[in-house]
Amino acid sequence: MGSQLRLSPQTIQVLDLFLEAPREWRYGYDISRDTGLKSGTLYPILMRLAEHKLLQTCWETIEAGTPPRHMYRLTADGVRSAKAHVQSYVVRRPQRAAFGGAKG
Amino acid sequence: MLLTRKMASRLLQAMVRHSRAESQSWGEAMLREMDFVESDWSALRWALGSASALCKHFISQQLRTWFDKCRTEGMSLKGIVKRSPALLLGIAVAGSVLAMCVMGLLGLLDVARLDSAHRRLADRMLVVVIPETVYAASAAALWRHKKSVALGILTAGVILMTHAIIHYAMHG
Repeated sequence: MGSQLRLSPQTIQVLDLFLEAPREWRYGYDISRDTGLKSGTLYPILMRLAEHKLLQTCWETIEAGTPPRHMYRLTADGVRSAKAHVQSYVVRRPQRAAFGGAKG
Repeated sequence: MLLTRKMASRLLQAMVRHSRAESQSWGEAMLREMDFVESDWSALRWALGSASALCKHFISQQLRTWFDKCRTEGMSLKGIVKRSPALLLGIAVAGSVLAMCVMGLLGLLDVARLDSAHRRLADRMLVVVIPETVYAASAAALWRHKKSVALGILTAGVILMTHAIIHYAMHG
């Protein structure tokens, strides 16, 4: 992927959430609820992260007969990149309450 | 299931069905997550947001494909210079069509004694409607094999249309 990842405050917010438990798989709706981002904001971010190979996706079948759910977690590259970006974002904007203001 | 939730589900299903292959799994993921949204109105908002996310993805994919195509086909100055004879030919063809239409109009005005309303109608038909229709039809016919000529014709068509709009806006 040649293009550079655009790091909006909402993207940083999503990365920060993933960094809370980097090895844990998360569902889209849970991410939306935890970050306060609407689906129209959240999914383009997840798609971009996956296109840049920073996010792993997989389908989980909870029980037979019900459709599977899509889950997400950061790749190893994703964790490294997220840590760097979140840190630089906090350094650049120290006076703001880290991610409180950004809502989708 | 309430009507609102059913409507939300139908909307998103339709979007997923019509989205491109690479967006479809994302669409299905959004659709599945909607089952976990508690209230029906929130489900509708989720569906609308998801539909907009799919649209954004579609547009960004289309733009990326277009930019890649431009890069590989070389939309550079060199490319434009190479294409300019064909473009000029298209403009010349369009100019000839317009000239024939204008001559037809002058001939008609010479032969028939038209009142001012009919004169205006003949003017609009022969100087705008007929040439523009010929341009659109010929550009469509040439698009696949002679794209540069078609572009020349379309350019002339846009110039003529812009001129006509300005003229009729100012003089009625």
